[in-house]
Amino acid sequence: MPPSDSQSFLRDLDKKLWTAADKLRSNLDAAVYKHAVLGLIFLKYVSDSFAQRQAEIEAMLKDPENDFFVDPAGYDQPAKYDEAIHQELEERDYYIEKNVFWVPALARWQTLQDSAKLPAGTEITVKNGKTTTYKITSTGKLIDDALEAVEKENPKLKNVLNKNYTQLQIDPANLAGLIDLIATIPFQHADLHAKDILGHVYEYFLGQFALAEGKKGGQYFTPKSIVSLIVEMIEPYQGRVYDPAMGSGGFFVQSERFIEEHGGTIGDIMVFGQESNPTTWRLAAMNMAIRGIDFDFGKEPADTFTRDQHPDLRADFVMANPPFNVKEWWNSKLADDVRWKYGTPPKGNANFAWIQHMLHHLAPNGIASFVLANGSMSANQSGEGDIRRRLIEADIVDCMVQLPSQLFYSTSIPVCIWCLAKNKGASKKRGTERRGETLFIDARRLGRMVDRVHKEFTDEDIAMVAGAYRRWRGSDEGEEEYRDIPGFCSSATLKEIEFHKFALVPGRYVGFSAEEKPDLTHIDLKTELEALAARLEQITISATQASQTLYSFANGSTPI
Amino acid sequence: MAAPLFDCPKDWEKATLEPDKFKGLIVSVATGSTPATTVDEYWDGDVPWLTPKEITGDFKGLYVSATERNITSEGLKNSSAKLLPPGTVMLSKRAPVGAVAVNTVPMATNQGFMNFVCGHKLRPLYLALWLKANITYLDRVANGSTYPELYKNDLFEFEICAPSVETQDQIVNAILSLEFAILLGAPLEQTSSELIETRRIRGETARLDAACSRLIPLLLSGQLDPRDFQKSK
Repeated sequence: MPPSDSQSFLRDLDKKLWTAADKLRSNLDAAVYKHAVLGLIFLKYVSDSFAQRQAEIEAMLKDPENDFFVDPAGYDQPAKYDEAIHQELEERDYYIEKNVFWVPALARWQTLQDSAKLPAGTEITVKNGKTTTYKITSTGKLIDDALEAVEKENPKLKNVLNKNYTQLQIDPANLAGLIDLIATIPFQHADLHAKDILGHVYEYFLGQFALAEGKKGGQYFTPKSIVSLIVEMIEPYQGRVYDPAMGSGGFFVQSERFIEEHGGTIGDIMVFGQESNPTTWRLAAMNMAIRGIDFDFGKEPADTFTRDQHPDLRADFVMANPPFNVKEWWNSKLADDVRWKYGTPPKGNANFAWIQHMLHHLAPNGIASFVLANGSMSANQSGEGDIRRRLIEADIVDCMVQLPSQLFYSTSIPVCIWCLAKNKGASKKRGTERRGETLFIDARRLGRMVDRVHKEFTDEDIAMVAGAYRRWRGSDEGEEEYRDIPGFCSSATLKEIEFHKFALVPGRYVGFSAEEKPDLTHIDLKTELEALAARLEQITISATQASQTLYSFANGSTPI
Repeated sequence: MAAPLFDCPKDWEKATLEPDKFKGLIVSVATGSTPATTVDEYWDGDVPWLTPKEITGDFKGLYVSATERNITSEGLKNSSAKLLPPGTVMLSKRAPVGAVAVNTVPMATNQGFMNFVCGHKLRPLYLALWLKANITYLDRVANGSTYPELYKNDLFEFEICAPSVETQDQIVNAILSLEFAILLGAPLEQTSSELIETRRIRGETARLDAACSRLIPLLLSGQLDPRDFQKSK
């Protein structure tokens, strides 16, 4: 956790950049613009990291105390010495040993910024050890060629960068403006590195774009509240982490943050992901590259059900926010799939296909935790109820959390979190024996509105839910014992779940808090009844008056 | 957890909302439906047909004797709506959840209702008050996939407790007397030409209203004997 001044520095930076970038968008569709902006932010990141490493190497070469010292005395002219240093600085090994992407001169940020406003036809010289010339045709083409060059030099980034700036319907002046804007992102701050700053900007932009894209954008972006909650609940600090519907990779980023906050190193996890949307798949890969997370997202973007990219994976942690209630997912070749251990999911709704896919890829002592629409907890249509019953009877359902609505940008449907574990017995990671039990948490009253339509969890909200689950599992470092809290959480047995006809809705298990119950303290009836008597008397008087008035009126005399 | 919001004496009758002919509390449940709106012959007949929005908002009291729209007996025949006998407890199950009314004339409802027919051991008004007093529970279990909605399974596991029908009648009477005094507050306000007096009446009504909502759970949980209540009157 960086100290709060860096927090506020990042917050101000995010806002400033977003406002400026949004101005340059003019009429471009947010979904298209997103890739243009994020691609440039990524390029800035690789270029900055490269420049930083280059400065380090240069310092080494010029430090007489260093093993790599290049002695100027060995050169008869300063120019020759400078050339030697330049050649040395272009040595790839220096960069690769530190996991820094090698950036060819054309793609270095300074080159882009200097060349973006040059008229077409201008020739620039590019010096990568040897000197070449490059002819500018358009700003878009320049960026595409730069990205192409980066990809060619770094096998890890193969097919990851979105090289279509030439086709973008974006005004060259705006594109140049965007480059200037991104150039203003500092890559160092008191205690932040390039990856902290650019990673943060990258993620903030993802969120803002999800807002701007509305319904469609939300598919690829899970709100921070939910990602943080799931990560805090299952603590993925070591081993294989898998997200079969990863979108732009939010769960992995949050896992990394979790590890850092708990003093681990990022090398402790290896992330596996799958995503069918090609542009989103690229965003996720860039997202990982910025942070130096070791990732395997399969050979290519592909459908999780029909082209499983990690067939043999058994992950220690599975986290996901799969698309809800997908209607068109079925394919005839899925008929007898090994994954449908608890029953074939209905062809008109993929919820239970996602659940079983994740279970299939879960290690024997792992935990899977994912978001689904509320229907999954109680729907009995087309065999869903039977699959759910078998999951419950197999003692796999570990914890269910009902969430407040309005956490998502793209939908207002109420959602819940499922946590599954194949082994609920006591172990090193789980101090408490919980076989035959399931924890139910009703978190619907938590969260606060951040604007008219969106809700977010506070840190306290997250601690309250995640803490309850961790204490219940016996994997919390605190001394506190788990206990049921009426109206919030309750540990239920299989028998109770049977009574509720295998519906997993936490609201039905947790009971009521004291505030929700009617006040049954006696009231002073006597005083109340005196008021009542006076009231009834008044009604009688008014009624008599009214009848007298009407009576005399009917008898032809005017009422007094 | 399908227990009501308050505990009841052990000797009261206990059952869930699931119909059970032998128990004599709730004997049947009927759903409602909407006849095809494109067929004119189904509409504007002489069968009252209720929708949830008619018994929310400004609706005060418990009885319903007329509806905004009527359907025809043809409409009734060609839809799954049932004609409910007078004294059926109609509970809205969506948009909003938990509005309650009792019909005084034969009536049908749209699909937004779950309609309970009471047996010889349960008074409709008592059930209606019971459901109203447990609105927190109904809200809690209304877990729709797109918007809050009560499903049959959720409702059928909910418990009701009832004393003898004589005691039920006394409880209902006590509450109706209170409601009578409260409901007359509005016309009473209009009878005075003194503004100060009008304001006093309004304040008094609010106070009685609050006392009434405190009394209902006390009566329904057997903590307050309706006979004492009537004696002190």
